[in-house]
Amino acid sequence: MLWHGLSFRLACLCLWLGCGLPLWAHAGQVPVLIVSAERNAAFAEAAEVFIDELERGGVPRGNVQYLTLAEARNSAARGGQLVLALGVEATTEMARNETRAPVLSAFVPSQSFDLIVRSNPRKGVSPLSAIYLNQPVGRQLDLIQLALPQRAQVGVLLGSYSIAQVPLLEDERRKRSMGLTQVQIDGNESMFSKLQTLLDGSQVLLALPDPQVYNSRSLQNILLSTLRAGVPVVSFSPAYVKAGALVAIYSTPAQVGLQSAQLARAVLQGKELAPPQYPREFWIDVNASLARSMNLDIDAQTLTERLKRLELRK
Amino acid sequence: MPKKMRPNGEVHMPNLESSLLRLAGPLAAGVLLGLLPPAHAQDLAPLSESEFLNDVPIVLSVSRMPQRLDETPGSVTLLDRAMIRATGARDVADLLRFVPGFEVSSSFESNAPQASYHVSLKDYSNRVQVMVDGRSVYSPFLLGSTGPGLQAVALDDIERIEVIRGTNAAAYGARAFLGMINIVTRDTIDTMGTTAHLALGDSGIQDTLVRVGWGDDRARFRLTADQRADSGLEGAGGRDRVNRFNFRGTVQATDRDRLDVRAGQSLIVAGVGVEGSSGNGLRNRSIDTSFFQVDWGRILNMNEDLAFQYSHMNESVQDQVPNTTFTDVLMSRSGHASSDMLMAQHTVRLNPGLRWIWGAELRQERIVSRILYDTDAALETNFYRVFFNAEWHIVPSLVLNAGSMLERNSVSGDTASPRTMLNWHLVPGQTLRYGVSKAYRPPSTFENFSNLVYRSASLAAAGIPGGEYVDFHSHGGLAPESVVSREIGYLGSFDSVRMDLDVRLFDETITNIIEEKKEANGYTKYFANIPGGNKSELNVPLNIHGAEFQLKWRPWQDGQWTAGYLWIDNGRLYPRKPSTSFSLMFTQRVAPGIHLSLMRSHTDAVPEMPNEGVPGPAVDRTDLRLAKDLRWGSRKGEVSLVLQNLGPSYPDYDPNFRFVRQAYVMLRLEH
Repeated sequence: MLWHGLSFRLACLCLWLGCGLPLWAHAGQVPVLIVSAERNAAFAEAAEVFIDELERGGVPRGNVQYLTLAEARNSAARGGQLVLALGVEATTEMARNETRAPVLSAFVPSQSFDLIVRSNPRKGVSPLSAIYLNQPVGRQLDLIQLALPQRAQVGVLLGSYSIAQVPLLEDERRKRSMGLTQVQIDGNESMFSKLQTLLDGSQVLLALPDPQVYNSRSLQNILLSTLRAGVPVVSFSPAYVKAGALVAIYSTPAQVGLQSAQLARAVLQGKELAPPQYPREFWIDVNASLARSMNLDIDAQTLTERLKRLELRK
Repeated sequence: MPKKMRPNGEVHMPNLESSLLRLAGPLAAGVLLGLLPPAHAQDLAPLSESEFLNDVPIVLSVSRMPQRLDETPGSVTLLDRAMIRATGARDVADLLRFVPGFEVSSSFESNAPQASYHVSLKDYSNRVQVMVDGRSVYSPFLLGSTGPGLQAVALDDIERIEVIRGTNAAAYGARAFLGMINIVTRDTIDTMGTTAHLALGDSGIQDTLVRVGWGDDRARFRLTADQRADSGLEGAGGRDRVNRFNFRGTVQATDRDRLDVRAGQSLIVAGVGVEGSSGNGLRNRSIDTSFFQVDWGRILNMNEDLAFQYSHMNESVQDQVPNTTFTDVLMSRSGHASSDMLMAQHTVRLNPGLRWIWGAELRQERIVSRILYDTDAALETNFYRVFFNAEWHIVPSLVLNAGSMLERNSVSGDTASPRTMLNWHLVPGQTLRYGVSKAYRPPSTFENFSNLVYRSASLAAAGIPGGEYVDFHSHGGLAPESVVSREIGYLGSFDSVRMDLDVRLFDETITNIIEEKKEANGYTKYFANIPGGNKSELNVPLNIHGAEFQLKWRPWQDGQWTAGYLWIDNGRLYPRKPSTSFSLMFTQRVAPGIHLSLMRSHTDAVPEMPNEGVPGPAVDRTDLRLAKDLRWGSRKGEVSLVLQNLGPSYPDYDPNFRFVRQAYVMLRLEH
């Protein structure tokens, strides 16, 4: 996992949450229940911030319980006022669940959330909402304009997961007078020649999450080809920046946890669950060595501040 | 430092309009696809958060990170694929006309078309290193040469050629004495599918190529077979033919390990000599070079990686010279050279401002030639090398490149080749560079150990004592040549007028130069170190100084001017007389899919032509290339017409060898 490493404090929290479970296992209903399929560092960090923030707002720590799905199934614990589902698997299960409490989902890509909602109408049951894991497309394009103002021709490699984003991409790039070059990868054929065609006609490659396109087998070739073609990659994950993308925009678990807590607090105060939304806060990573080798004068801090200012003006 | 370099990222960016034009087809198709939901979208599992959260393997590790041209420790001319193709050149030597400072020849008379930097071809081209994918292809046979190495790969397999103008021994050891030609072949991912081309034209031009690339994400392969053939320069010894095959396999063994295997063979058969000459009769000479190379790269983490290389090379020369006067004398230059090389290097980035590379190399060269050395024993030279080079951003505007190569040569002793280069970015886009470096060229095996003796009864009858005519007899014990090179460079990037300028002022002082001399008998030759090399003042170190300019200008859409200019005083002339040379290239897309290029080059008159010690005239050459893209379905191709030397013929290498006006047509297909 890559989220800035596990701090000692975080490690303690994991232990504490783990040790605390037996006490809660038969506790029955708690006001707020956090569930995830597994406990990984990102979820744990988000949960910690979520609990801290609720505590700051007057919700005692004891009113929040964090269980894995397996633990939740075996316990009588139910979120009395709110369930925070972390990740696609927990969200899917909570969406099917007949829980009375509103369900707030986090760490779920917007397209997955839409799919879950479509296949689980939850008519007459509690509301379901989300803080999406992905950044709004417009924000990604704004980042490209800020970081690479000379590069208005954006290329995207599309697979079955990402192709649905094209209408949105088209809308947003038109608003910004940017060009869009797109190539669809068919799972059955080689992407080599298509990648070459795409790079020939693009000044920057916007990576959209799609395991059919970007996976551990293909990433090596994609990044090396972009390097040879002098086409930088703008990605959605800080891991890609470590691997060789130029820049990534994403929300940290802490930012997700904080925004979740703010929505949760409103619900706990008796308000309705806010509608699905993109993360408000974000962070940008820049591959400084690559930026330097491409003679680009950009750094993460400045880009983040400039993008935030731009969004405030809008 | 890592040798991957790119020019300023903006230079190669397609502009918006042309991108849209070229991509009208795919773009329209893409939009259409985007509006239609994929048939199987409903079957997909929801996109998981792990796509966002999970780690991915590191690809652009520290040594793959390109070095900026304005931060390299020396002047670099980059010949990329687009430029290579636009020149219409048929081999690398011909391409080097566009690099300031190079003197080139198309003649196969000595071995193969060769190139020399800052010294005349008359002095052989053995003072420049040639590398292909990190493997030295410098020919150690005879005096040493760039010729066979420049023919090692098909032009179409080349991704780019980085020409380092100036000493680069600190990174690559002896032989990168005055400069280095670094040929980088295309990645296997870029040569998938089948490519074929055929060129036919005047002067018996018959160039062919077939390339097949196959594989998947994990393992990819390429096999290229090609031929470069023509009837040779007018007046030269006859048909010249180069046949090559090159194989490359790339295996991504794990997320961190990459294995590259290369193997190939090139056979150069050239018609050389002069009809009726008693010591240099007409004949075919063959140079058969084969190699095997394996590279293993391991990424340790984002800031560290390791690279290992092993290569083996064989070079077999067959050259039987007919002798009409002494018919029982077997005159030959035949022999066999082989080499093995083992290298390990470690690249480290300590922090964003400091990275270094260090490593070691073992190299063994063996040369066997009964005729050249009067022995059947192999003459062996071992090179033990340890190198270290660091790139340090002292402050963001100041980059120091410093390093050294420590070399132990089993024949000529120990040397250290240090280099210090300071690049100062005055303001963005304006860089000054100053540096000093030292390098050595160890004597070649022939220079140190030649013992070329002709024995026959007819020689005895002609009065040669004992019937033994000693043509060459080295005294041994030669010291390496050394050079101290100082340079001041300037790199300017003027975005508003879309122009890049590179200026290099150089001062190279060579001592202990190895010269061919004659014994008192008037015919036996040997080699000796002389303090200098100036023909008139042999005891004064040979000083070469001058200036090189390189300009790239894109004044309008799809049009580009590239110019190179050299002013040099290389001290070899008496009386000293500076000379100049220049090249100019203009490329323009004249209509969608139609490309025009126009080239002009000039070299001043030379006091001695390489093959005969007679003056050579100034040479001007104008070339023209017109190409049309072809596309049908997924296949694409190109048809091109190349006119070389539109002006009158000019002598090349020898006053009697002439490069005449010639045209050829090339058809190229890709699938």
